[in-house]
Formats: sequence, C-alpha cells, structure tokens
Amino acid sequence: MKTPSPLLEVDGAGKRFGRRTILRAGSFRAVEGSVTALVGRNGTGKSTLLRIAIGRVRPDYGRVLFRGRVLKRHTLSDLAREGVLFLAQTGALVQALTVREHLEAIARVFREPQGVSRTVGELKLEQLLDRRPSELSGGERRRAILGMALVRRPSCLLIDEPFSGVEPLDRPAIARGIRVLTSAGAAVVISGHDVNDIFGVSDQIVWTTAGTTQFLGSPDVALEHRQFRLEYLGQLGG
Amino acid sequence: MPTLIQSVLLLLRLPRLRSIYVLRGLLIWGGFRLAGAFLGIPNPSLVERTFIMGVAATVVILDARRREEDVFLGNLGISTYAIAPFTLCLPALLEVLFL
Repeated sequence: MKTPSPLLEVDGAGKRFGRRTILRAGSFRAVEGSVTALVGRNGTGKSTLLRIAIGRVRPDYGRVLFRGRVLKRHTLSDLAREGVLFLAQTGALVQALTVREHLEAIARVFREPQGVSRTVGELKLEQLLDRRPSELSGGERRRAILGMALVRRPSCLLIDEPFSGVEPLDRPAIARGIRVLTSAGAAVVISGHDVNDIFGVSDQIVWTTAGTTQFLGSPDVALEHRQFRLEYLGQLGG
Repeated sequence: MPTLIQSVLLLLRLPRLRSIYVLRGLLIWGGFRLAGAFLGIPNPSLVERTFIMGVAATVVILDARRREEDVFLGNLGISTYAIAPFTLCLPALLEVLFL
C-alpha cells in the first residue's frame, strides 16, 4: 500500500535555547484527511516542533517541507496564504476584537461569506459572538479559536494543546470541530498530553520524548507500545 | 516586498483591525511628542520628527508581538510589518499639517 505523501513535514529538527536542548531530532508529518498527535510530557518539545513548522522558531538544523518543497525562512503569513492555519495555545486572538470580529476577518480575507454562520452553528458559538477573549473561559476560548479554522477550512491545521484548560462540557465540541475539518480533507496536527481526548480524535500518534520523536502508529498500536506505556502512561500489563 | 504590499492590501480590507493599529500609532507617537516637549524639544527638526515616527511604528510592532497578535495576523496572511504604514498615517498627516 502506498503511503500518502505529507502536506507539511518537519524532518530531523533540532533546537537549543541557550544551554538547554529542547529538541535533538524532532520529526512529524501532516497527512491530508488525518489527525497526527504529538504526545509527550511538558517541556519535551511539542510546541517547539509546531512553532518550527510555521516558522516562528528557527531550527538549529533540520528541514521543514510543504508539499514536498523545502521551506527556507518561511513565516506563518507565507504559509497562511498556502492554506495553513496555526492555532496557538494562547495569543491566537486579539484582545480588542470580539469573537464575531475574528471570524468575520477570516471570512473576509479568505472569501468565505457563509463561513461565519456555518461555524456558529457547528460549534454553538451564538452566546460567544459579542464577547472579547478576556470574557471567555478556557473552553470557550478554544472553541472560538477552532471557529476560525472552521471558517477558513484550511488544507493544513496545527493546533497547540486543543484540550488544555478546557472543561469536560466543551471537549466534545472541539473534537467534533477537528473531525469536521479532517473529513473535509485537512491535514491536522495537534499536540497535548491528555491521552483520553487526544487519542479519541487522532489517527497517528507521535511520541515526543527526551528531545526526539517516535512514530507509534494508530492510537490502538500506541497503547500497546511497551516503552510508551511504561515511560509515558506509567503502566504495564492489564 | 511583494509580500508586504499584499499584507497591506489585506489589512486595508479589515477596518476594525486596521483602526486598532492606527489608534495605537497615534497614541504612542503623541506620547513621544509630548515627552519631547517636556524635555525641551517642542519643535523638533524634520529628521527628529521622522525618527520619532520610526520609533513609534517600531514600538507598535513590538507591542503587537508582545501581545502575540502576530499569530492572528499571520493566520490572515498578514506580515506584522504591514502594521507600520497604518501606525504612521495619522502622525505623518499631523506632522505635515503642523510643520
């Protein structure tokens, strides 16, 4: 069986911040129509890998490829024009704008006139539209941020910790939003450490550990991985 | 450069977002001009005025990055540097009017 070619790929990236090595050899592939999850403890380089992919962090070595083309000194704005969207854990929203204004800005720039009304229904954002980011709870903020992706319908979406700080009530809506995008063919990469939520929406698991990445395969296969279970999940047997 | 022009054109289509940077540019430039007046430079030279506007635009760009607004701008395909013309438009107009 032929492996689908990745839309966005980070290959063997390394990064030091001062004396601290965050990444020694980090890699992942974003494949169309599927969700790749970067799973690992805090500080193992998940967010750094995503930031390297979008050009916010320059790797000391390694490559970033988009549609098979090696990118050099790229920025998020360059990638956004090619259909990539990055949803940061914090700071993806402008404090002075309401949720409605964020969604309308995306719809106007990318000419998606029906995008806002469609997204409001899909993510149940009616109550949030006239609120500013500072007036949103963690879960509401994540839903609003994901709303931008549903308006944009990107070909590749990177989300840093989509379930972090989200109340249980809001989690199904976020998972549903991610599935809507992958069913439309988007290549989605998410990061996080909550196995229940992350594994529920993911097709491939990449484990970030000790500055490296290990491709574990599907969530079911990952759960059978002895080292992953021992070192990350803290369990064996059963 | 074409990317910067593209970014400016995109930001032109977003009046609400654009007005935020126009206002911030005006406030920061006004603050510098007031501070200059207090420090005994009420009528700076053309070079000094240009320098003050450049510093004000830089401060607005750095402030946008500090607030991580560059992520939202980036997702819109807009480079952070595209803010600069909008932060400078009112100060430049006022400098020309009252030179």
